[in-house]
Amino acid sequence: MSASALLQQDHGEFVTSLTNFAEALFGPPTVGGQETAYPRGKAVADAISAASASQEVGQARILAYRAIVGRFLRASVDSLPPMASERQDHLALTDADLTIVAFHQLAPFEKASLLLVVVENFSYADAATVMDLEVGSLIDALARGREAFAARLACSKFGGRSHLRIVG
Amino acid sequence: MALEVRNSDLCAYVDQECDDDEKQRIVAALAASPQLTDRLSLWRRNDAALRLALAGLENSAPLQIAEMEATGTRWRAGRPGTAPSGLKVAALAALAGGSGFAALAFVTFVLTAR
Repeated sequence: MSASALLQQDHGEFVTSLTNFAEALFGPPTVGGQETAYPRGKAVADAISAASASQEVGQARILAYRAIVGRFLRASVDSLPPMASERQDHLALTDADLTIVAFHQLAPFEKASLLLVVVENFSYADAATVMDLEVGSLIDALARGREAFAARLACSKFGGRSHLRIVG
Repeated sequence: MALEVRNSDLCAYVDQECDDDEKQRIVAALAASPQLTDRLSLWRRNDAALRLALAGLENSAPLQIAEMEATGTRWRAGRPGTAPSGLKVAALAALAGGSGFAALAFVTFVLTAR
């Protein structure tokens, strides 16, 4: 199956997966009801365009994710607004919330490597291609990311939430 | 056989990216090191938590009474999840703001001072 055939046959699913990936990497499109300046939509559009130019499905997937990761890594992450939960009005500080908060505190290369390998199940070779890194550098980023994520998560769950006193 | 295992080696093991010889070496190291085994377990739990959280699955309940009691957290009133939403939002936003310990300290102070 060619890449263009894939895009035609499973276009909706493919776009959804790219959108979910971009949202996980950049954060949600709104914070506190306000639309943010995330280049998320543009990144997905770039990804679809890149995939369409490929003749092979596996390569199309790599090119698509590479477009999103490239835009993310080029972005000034310091200017990105804080990530907030869409569920904040009716539920607070679940493990899932704290996990996502901890994830978004990681450095950009750590976030991208974890997302590609752990969540998207890319091989090391493909993830390295997506991030434009040597495999060794990808593994280093992944190892740093796992250590940092563990530390952030422990801080959030046991240093943070467990000390919050809920009042009625 | 060298038993020293770097974090990058452990990563490759977790992600099933190492060859058979390397896998055997790490298995031997794991058998000899409870600390390394603990790190492996922690990474796997965190990986699973990240997948679930990003998949939007509600894999956990709100704050649990038993958990708070176990960690010495005192209760004034109410049930888990009954904090005013403004405070909850502030707590989550502060945590997400990247200011780390300072934010945690501030949120803790605000909530416990009430």
